[in-house]
Amino acid sequence: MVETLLPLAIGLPLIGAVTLGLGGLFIPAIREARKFIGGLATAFIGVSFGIFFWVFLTYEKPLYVLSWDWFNIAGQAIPLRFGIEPLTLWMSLIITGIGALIHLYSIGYMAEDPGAWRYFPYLNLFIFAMLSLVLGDSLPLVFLGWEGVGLCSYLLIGFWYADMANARAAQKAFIMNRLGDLAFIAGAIWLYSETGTLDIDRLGQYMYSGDVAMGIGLLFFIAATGKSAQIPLYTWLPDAMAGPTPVSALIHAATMVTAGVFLMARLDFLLNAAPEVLMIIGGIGTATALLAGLIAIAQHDIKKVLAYSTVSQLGFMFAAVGAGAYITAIFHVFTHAFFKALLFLGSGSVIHGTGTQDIRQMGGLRRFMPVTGWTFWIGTLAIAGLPPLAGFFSKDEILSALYARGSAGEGVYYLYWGVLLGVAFLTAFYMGRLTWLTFEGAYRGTGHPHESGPVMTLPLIVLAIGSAGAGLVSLPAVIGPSWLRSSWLGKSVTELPLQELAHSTEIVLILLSVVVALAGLLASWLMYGKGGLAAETRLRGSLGRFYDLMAEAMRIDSLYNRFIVRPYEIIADAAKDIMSQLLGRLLPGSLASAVKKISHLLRSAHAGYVPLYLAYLVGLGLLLIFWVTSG
Amino acid sequence: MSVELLYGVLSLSVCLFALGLLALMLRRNFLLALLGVEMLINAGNLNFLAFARYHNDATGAMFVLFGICLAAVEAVIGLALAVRLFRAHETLGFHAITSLRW
Amino acid sequence: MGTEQRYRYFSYVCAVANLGEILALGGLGILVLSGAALAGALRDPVYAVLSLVLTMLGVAGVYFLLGAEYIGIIQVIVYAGAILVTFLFVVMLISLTRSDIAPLPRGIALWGPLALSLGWAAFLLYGLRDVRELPLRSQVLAQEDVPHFLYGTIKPVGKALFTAYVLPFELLSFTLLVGIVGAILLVQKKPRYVR
Repeated sequence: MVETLLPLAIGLPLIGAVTLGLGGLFIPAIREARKFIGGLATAFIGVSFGIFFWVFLTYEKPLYVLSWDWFNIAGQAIPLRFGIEPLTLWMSLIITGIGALIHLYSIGYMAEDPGAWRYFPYLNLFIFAMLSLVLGDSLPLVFLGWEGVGLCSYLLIGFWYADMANARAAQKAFIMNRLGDLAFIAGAIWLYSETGTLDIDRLGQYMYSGDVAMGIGLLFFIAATGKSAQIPLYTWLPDAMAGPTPVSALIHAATMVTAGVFLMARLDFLLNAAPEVLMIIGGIGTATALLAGLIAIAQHDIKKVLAYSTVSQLGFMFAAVGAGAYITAIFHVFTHAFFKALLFLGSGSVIHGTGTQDIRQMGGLRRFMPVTGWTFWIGTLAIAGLPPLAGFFSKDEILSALYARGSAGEGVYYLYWGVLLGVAFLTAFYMGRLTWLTFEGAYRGTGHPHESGPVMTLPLIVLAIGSAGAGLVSLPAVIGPSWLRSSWLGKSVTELPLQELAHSTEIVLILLSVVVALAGLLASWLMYGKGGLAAETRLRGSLGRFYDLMAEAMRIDSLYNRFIVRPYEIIADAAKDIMSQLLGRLLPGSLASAVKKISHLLRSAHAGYVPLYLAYLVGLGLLLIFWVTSG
Repeated sequence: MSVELLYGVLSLSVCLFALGLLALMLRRNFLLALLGVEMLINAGNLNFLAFARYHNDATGAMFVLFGICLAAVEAVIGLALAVRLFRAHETLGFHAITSLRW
Repeated sequence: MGTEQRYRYFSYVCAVANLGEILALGGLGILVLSGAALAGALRDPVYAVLSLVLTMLGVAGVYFLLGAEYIGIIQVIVYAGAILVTFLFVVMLISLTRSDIAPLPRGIALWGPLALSLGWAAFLLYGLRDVRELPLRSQVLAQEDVPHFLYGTIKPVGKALFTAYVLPFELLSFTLLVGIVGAILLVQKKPRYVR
């Protein structure tokens, strides 16, 4: 019974996108009915979520749906199908659940926007692509989704395309993603040549030699860095804040950017065979987390802070992958989806209510928008890692995994652990800074802040509840059972076996995380809670030149520009000059005169002189008779 | 009829055919070029009749008879066209009638 | 002698009188070819048409030599006497004079057609190379069980025209009608409307 509904669950967002999009395109009346479109789009995703939830409740064993052969070349067929199993189903729930909430929120957020009729189809299309990505059991389907979310990201970042800056941001995101896609394709081709299949299910049953696993694993990791904004392909994410805030919440916080982490978990069999790659992944994740965390401290655009925070948290997830703890990474994806979406939607509420994104113009907003304010605080505390909110559990699990791997012999993981502990402090600090400056103290702006309507505040409340309770699915060993690991994800994801830590060590680690979180929050309260914006000058003073670097995102963008973009543009210009000379002058010159000469020659055959034509007749007649009779 | 006669008549028809081609291609006047066409037809008729005689078959003779009549029709139409051409171009010389020029 | 006998004697004569036939053919051939050459070369249009009349008469002579008397007469009356006369009519209608006719071309315009014609002639003559091996007519006739009446004289022609070839005959008359009407229409100076 439920098998027949699954294709509906997957296809409904696509149907929504196509019908709403085409309807809006051809029927002007529909373009005006923004709330209707939004409601319909939300309903589609809601139904999808319902179906997935039902499958979740009644789950017994893996299901495969919508299986067909893509094409057949000389007997070699590429079969495609979708696979429902714990990991993919979990991700689908996140995507459709949080997706539905964000759709609902968008109805309110985009109510005044004349382009809203485009917005919802794009959003639905994104959900479909993301579902294809996670549910695809065949790599081509995964890639379809992979590219699809990149496309929708482009469409939605550049939603207000009339402003060139937005269009450029969208382009940047797409091109950087594309570089990752190249690695994906290379990895897929290599996998195919090694095993002759592209079904993840079957790929998991092969044995891979160390070198092959390392190569393919690296390729897929590079793809993941593009999609999940890790070093070196992360600079598009802060720029992506040019899109509408719900887009940032959905795509650049809860779902698309987690696709890279998901891919790593999906290809656990590959990574488990290549420990060196895991070390690299862990290192890059850690470095990214640190870099982004530092940058976030000096940002004054509310969305930019959250963007760098996302990059940083993604770094945490990859660090967990690096420790071989894929389930832990997915756990952090789960909790992060809740509180990051909450934070973004909250910031959207703030932007909607104050008309600005600059936190220097805000302050004391909790008085004006209480729901937003309180939910935002919950999100901040969650991301800081304060127990018993969700962020604590997942972050602590990551740190424990790193420490455990370190104590299993690979000392570099101790380094990762230490750095990430510091980043946890930074996280608490900059999020505290953000929240104090935005919601507490005196109002520094000039507008009339107001709370948003229930359509927007309801999702905030739901997400806040999630941020609070989501951690309970996987408790640390000392405290209780990890349902996620033992009863659910553990069935389809194989982590690298981790050394069991002594209970005492575990407790110490837990205490350390809590202390670090509290310290960060305390520091932020001391500086910004009590001092307000004035504390910023003190920060600037104590950090000196370093502050400017952080504020300018370490000037990485200009680095890329100088060493990658500019040379490429120079080469392109040179090529253009050469080609236009060649094609514009030389070729047309010689080609044109050659054609002229030939045509002159041939023209003389048409002199209009009848005897000449008669001669043709006779001559060719002779040839014809000759040819016919000699045959 | 001995076969030499057949061979002789056929060679004659070939020579008449060749002369007809020459007249057709070398003449620069439409009317006189038509004369070449008449020669060609006659060459064909000779051929038919020679073999009709050889096989003692009236079919060849029929061909010749009808051929003469159709040649008459063709000549008449051709001449009418010549008159039209003359009226249009004031001359029947091919150097002047070049509307087919590309 | 009865008609049949006369014909049989004639065919016998024809089978034997080779030399005479060949000489006659030779003479007629010279007439035909020289007439054709002159028709292609003469500058005066009237002389050109008249030389073609000579050719037609020569061809008629060959027809007679081959025993097709009726066809020969038709050739003289229709071809030489009607068609070429019509040519002369048109020549006079458009007042074509010697000065209107350009001389034969020189250079490639001469050698090209010359080469083509010689090519055709050579090709055709080459095709005739096996004709000499054909059996003698008298022998062919002995094998076939055909009545020895000649084919090109008036009686067999008339018989064929009204039996086996009656349909082409009627169609031919229709074609002639179309030709006449067409020619008149083409030559009209002003459109004449039927009131």
